[in-house]
Amino acid sequence: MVQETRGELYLSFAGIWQRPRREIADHLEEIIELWSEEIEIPPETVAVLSAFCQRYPAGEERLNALWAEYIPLFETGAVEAPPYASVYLDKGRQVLGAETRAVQAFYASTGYGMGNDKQELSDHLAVELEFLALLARDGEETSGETFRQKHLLPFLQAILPRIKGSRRPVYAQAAEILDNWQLKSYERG
Amino acid sequence: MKRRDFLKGALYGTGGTMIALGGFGTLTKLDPKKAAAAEQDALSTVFSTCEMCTSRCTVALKVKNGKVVKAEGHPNDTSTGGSICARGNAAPSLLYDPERIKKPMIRTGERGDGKFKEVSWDEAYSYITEKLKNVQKQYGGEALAVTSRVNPNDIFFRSLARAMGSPNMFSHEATCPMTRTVALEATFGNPYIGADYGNAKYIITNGRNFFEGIHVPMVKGVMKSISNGGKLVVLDPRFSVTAAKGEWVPIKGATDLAFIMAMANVMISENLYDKEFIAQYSVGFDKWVEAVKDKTPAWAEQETGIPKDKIVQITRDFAKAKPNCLLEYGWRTPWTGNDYQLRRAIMIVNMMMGNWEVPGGYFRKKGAALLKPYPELQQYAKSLGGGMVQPAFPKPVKGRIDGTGVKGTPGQVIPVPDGAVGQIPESILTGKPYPIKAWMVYRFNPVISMPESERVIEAIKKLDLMVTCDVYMTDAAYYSDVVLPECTYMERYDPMIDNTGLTPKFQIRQPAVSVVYPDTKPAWQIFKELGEKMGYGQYFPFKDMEEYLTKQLAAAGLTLAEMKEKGFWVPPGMKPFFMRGKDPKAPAPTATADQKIQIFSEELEEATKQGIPEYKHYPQPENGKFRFIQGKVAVHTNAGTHNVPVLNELMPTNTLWINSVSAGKLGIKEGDSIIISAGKYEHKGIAKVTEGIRPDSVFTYHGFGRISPKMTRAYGKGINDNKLIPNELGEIGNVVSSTTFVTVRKA
Amino acid sequence: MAKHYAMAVVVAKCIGCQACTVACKFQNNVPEGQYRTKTPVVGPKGTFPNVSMYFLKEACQMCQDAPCVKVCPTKASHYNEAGVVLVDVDKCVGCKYCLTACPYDARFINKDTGAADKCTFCWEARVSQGQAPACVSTCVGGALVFGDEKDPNSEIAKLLSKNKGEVRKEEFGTRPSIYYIFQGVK
Repeated sequence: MVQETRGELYLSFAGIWQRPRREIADHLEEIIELWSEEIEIPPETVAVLSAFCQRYPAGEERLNALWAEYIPLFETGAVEAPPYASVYLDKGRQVLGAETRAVQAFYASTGYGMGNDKQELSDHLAVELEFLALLARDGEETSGETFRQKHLLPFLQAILPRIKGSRRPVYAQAAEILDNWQLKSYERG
Repeated sequence: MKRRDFLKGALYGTGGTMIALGGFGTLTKLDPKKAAAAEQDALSTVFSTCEMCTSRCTVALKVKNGKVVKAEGHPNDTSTGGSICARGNAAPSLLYDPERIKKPMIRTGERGDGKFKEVSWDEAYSYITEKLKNVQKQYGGEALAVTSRVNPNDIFFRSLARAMGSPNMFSHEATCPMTRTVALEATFGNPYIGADYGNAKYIITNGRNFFEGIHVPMVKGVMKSISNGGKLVVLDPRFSVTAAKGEWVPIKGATDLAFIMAMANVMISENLYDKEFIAQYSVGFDKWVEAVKDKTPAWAEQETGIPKDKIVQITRDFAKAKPNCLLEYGWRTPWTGNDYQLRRAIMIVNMMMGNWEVPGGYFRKKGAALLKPYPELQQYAKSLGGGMVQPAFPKPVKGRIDGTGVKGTPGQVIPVPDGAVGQIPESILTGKPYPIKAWMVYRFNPVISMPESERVIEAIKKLDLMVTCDVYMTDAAYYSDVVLPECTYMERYDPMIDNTGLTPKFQIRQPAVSVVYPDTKPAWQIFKELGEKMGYGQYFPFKDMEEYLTKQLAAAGLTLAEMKEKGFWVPPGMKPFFMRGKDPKAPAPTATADQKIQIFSEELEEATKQGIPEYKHYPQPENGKFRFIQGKVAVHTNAGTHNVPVLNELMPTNTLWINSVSAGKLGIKEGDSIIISAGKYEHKGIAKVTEGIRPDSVFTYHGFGRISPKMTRAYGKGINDNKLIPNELGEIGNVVSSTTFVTVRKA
Repeated sequence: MAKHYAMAVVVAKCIGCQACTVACKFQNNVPEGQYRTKTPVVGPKGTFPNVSMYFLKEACQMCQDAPCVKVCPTKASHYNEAGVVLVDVDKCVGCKYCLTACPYDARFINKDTGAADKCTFCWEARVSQGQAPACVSTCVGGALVFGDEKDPNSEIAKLLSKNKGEVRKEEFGTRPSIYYIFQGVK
């Protein structure tokens, strides 16, 4: 797989795991197309995603449909899959743990830091994937692979089964696809 | 390859709204200089004021690598001796809890189905503004009610209601100590009265549970008294931890006033009270003599179930310790409709002991105004100033929904800053005296903290707008239209905290770390920004909290820098000051017009026709029924901490205490599943069969059985006492919450 | 003379508030669901209305003749220079002999480290730095007294000279350094 494609894929998943917003939601079809071309996916998974897109055409309605799934899945109160790595990888199951500091330090070692608006914790799933997208774009292949092995994969192994298990439309399928790409078939790619 | 334009554009920084750097802009290129100034690993200390409950203990927060790793008591604060309780210790567990709310949210589904979307602060403010403007247009500004647990940000929260022209501002007090407040105001002119537990030789408490409803300095005081050989008598239908440390007298519920009146009766008939004190410092004693003349120990035995000889013996021993004796004035108080008269009677009996402004007695909190007349104390007479000067608010068109302040009615004596919060659901549901259409709650959870949870929910569902500002998706938040995430006390400044007691004492609350969840905000900022969006910016004339604090402190000749460094300020060198500490005949004025203790209260006579406490007999549970009582536990705060990970781990659920004999009759064994029925409402629970409760009473700890599924740890665990308790308005508009009777059966 | 650190629990002053329990967890990063100290209730005993109840702080009793030290095959459990029983995490192989040997059930296998774990009197972070253990410093009731038992001027030595300090399970001959003072307990 060429670096450019890898960057786009990372960014597409970063977009999915972010808090829902219009730009991403409205380009869901484009993202699904990218995935089907680049990653091995069972047809029924694509069918579920396409059905969602048809049921909720791009716009406010689709965004709200995503919110309805995203909040119980990731965000508030009894979340099904906390999106922060330290919740899984550190003792104590809290945010801002040793893992958070470790990924922050990794970002810094490659010249990156959290944006000024600090809208997210640095070990959020979407942030780690966005970071990998940027590294892929920058051609930082070695750093990218080190980060992937050390930080992303252990995190994915812990969180993806939960997201898949949630059976929440779009998110469960995206988790399956990310799983196929990162954990099952990455080497072939 | 048109389809990839979006992602490509984003990745390389050419796409529409994406920022130039590329990606989604979550990460940026670091400034190399900043990267070099990495965080320090050393342990540092930030002094602040705890908010795990509202007792406002000074704390030392230990920070390492930008994280709060431990909360401790402030080592230099003699009132706490450097201790904090379990809840205070658990603060970092709240701070880093993944279940906190992180972004403003707006409801997308029906109320109560838990569907929300996250929005920007601006969207949240705009949404609230639009709804409130509609309510104002359609029903008038008074259709907005605001309620908060009393706290330093109230001034900003309430400014929103004031600016809209609403008089309907409420504290939580009516669910808590309001009848005590009423009694103190009526008797002493204001409620700022403290007790010097540590120097008392004899303490009697009616239900006040010092060792489970923990206020650290009070625990220290009571423990000092006992350790020095002081006597502690605990009247409580349940064997509390406090009862275990003293002599337990299992009084029948709702009869405390009979015991107190009988004490007075004995004191008068046996000449045990301080006549000179009463003559010099009080008015109206003759009416009290008249009121208690037939309240003999024999009569009280019938009411309370306490043998008359016991009543006489306790009274005599208590009087022997005068004036270093305390009859505790109580905390969570509304036990009966006329509870305020119990609190009045308690303070009258105290005054018969002359325990006013002496060590081991009651005292006025020593703010600057009280110290000024004393030449030797003038140097200590410092007070905090305002942090801002607000223009005049519009005068509300209508009076308050609860009748607060209306002369000649019981509302006359409801404290204006508090109001009777129990009236809000009534007004929403009945439209009387006029409907409330919008309710904003801050650090207050009416679904759990007010009686009749289901009725409160029913009321919320009828509103045009419900807004909750809190740190968790509380039960109230769950039913709200807009949820505003406040950051915790460890992440923010608040206005100065005045914790004056026997000396002035000012405390700071300051951030130990920057906000954990980047889009949470301090409440002052939330209300200021919302106010500005609503067009009420003029009522928030300050830039930020540092500026506000600097102004407040300047009035006392203090600087923000020294407060930040030391955490709290007491006048250096000042000893605890009692007005009658050196000379028992020294002036010790109260805050009333005539500066005397109002044994007969003209104000109450006008408001309720009860200028002197009158006994009212409340029914006792019939055979097969139980009095349902509730209380606090040391590891939780009211409805506040049940979802905090470490505290939930210590105590995730509650049980129903039932006497072993009563349980035996019902075939209930320890650990059995049971159903508690209050008629209209029922609740499941687990039985705790114990010798530590009267056979006619059952007990549960408050704040459990949570309704919001968004608090995983606390959701559905244990008994929500307030589901079972009917919302009754007491004689002075308070919420009465423990005259409920229940039946219990095996599930 | 070598120091001997000891703790006295004035049972009458303990209100079971669990401030110590929580302070210990944060001081020592004790994993979720595990505790180095806890303070369970004893009672209510008796029959209504003549009942009594108290709380008893539980933790490692810091025996001077400690079974856990004796049975440890790797010498991970040891006494330090001040008579404090400690576990060297690097030497511990998690064999659990000490868990079985401890008559006070004070030890557990730490979920995070896999090593035997227990109260250390907060030796590393506090006591060796001249501070009291976290539980003592936060105790709301003022029930915990800590210090060098061999120093006659220490608060604990004075307290124990005036009050009878009982040790738990004296018959095991473990010579604990935790003394329980029951005076004033009903």
